[in-house]
Amino acid sequence: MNLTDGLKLPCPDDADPAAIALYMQRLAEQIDTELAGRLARARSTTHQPTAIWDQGPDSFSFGPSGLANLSIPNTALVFANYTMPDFAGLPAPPRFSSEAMPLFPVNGLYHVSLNSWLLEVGAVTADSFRRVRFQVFYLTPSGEFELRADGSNLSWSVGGVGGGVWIHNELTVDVFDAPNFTVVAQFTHDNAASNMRWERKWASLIRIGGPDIIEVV
Amino acid sequence: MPGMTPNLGIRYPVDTDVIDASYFANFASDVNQALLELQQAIDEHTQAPAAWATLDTTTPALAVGIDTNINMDAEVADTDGMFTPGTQIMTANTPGIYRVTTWDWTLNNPAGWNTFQVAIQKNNVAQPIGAARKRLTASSSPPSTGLSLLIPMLVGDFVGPRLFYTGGAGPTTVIDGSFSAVLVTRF
Repeated sequence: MNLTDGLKLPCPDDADPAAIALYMQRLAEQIDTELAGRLARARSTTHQPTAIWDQGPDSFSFGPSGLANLSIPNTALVFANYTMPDFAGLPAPPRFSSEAMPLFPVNGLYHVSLNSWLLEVGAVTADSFRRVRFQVFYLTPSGEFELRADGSNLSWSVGGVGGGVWIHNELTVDVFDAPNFTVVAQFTHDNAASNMRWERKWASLIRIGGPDIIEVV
Repeated sequence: MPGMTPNLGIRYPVDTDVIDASYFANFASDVNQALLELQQAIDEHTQAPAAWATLDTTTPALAVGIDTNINMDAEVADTDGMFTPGTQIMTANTPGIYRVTTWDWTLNNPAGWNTFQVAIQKNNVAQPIGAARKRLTASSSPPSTGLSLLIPMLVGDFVGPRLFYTGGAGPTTVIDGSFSAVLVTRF
């Protein structure tokens, strides 16, 4: 029996018995294994875990001393090509919320973003700030939350002009223990003239690739 | 009755078959089909639909306080017939999740206290999916801004940037801008 270089595909040589059917079967099965694996890997590059959420007006508003925690329910899901176990362990659409854990379906390198429209309920305090803290934490084996990525961002009201501000947060994170990674986002402000609310949240998550693409130099 | 591999259905003879040329033909045909599928999967990744247009040579006016579409004047790349020349629009011809990015939007010396915002609209709805707003000061440095979002698009859906400016000294002009859409995940 001869084997090709590289993929080691089998083929008979002159000394082998003339069992042509058996040789063809073995060759077919070896090709099947090699090609099916490559096909699955190629298809996975264009079908990486991806999710998008779009949450509309939030009735909750708060003053300068408060904060709002990110909590986007399943109903705001626009697209997801994966599921996550719910509290009963059943497959459910992923939730993009500070208390949702886990959020990431498998290990890998992820790009995560959050785009927020932050709107004042009433008057605007000139030059007041609006901040969205946007971070990914890892729950360590010892039970501590460890900051792994920070995409926090800050914006200002402008001269008392209404209409709110948009804040865009994004980060890339190496998720090496998917069940124990979670995203945390909080909105704070110092608009003393009126409360503010998280008017719209457009959030997304996409796996960029496997851990093997990460190279430490 | 020939056998068949479990994943790709490559047909092969079994011991009781009388092997003739048709067995080799079927074998070669099935491997050929599998290779074509592999090539298609690779092409979907390496030749993903993508388009990129810029504002380079013209300097369109941007009025105060009015959401404005700024037509791009140069197509840098377009692998799937997405960009409509003379507009700011990218239309999906392949369904999927697109990374839509707009950046380098630059105003020419806006005067007074003001804001400059670039938003990404889908199908021209009034409310953008996202926006980046920059607070400006009286400065001679041209301000610029941009953002990037993942957006699901069906065939015929379109996206485009929209600019908004507030200031105290009347219209300004836009001197640079870029807008791109790249398919990153297939449905």
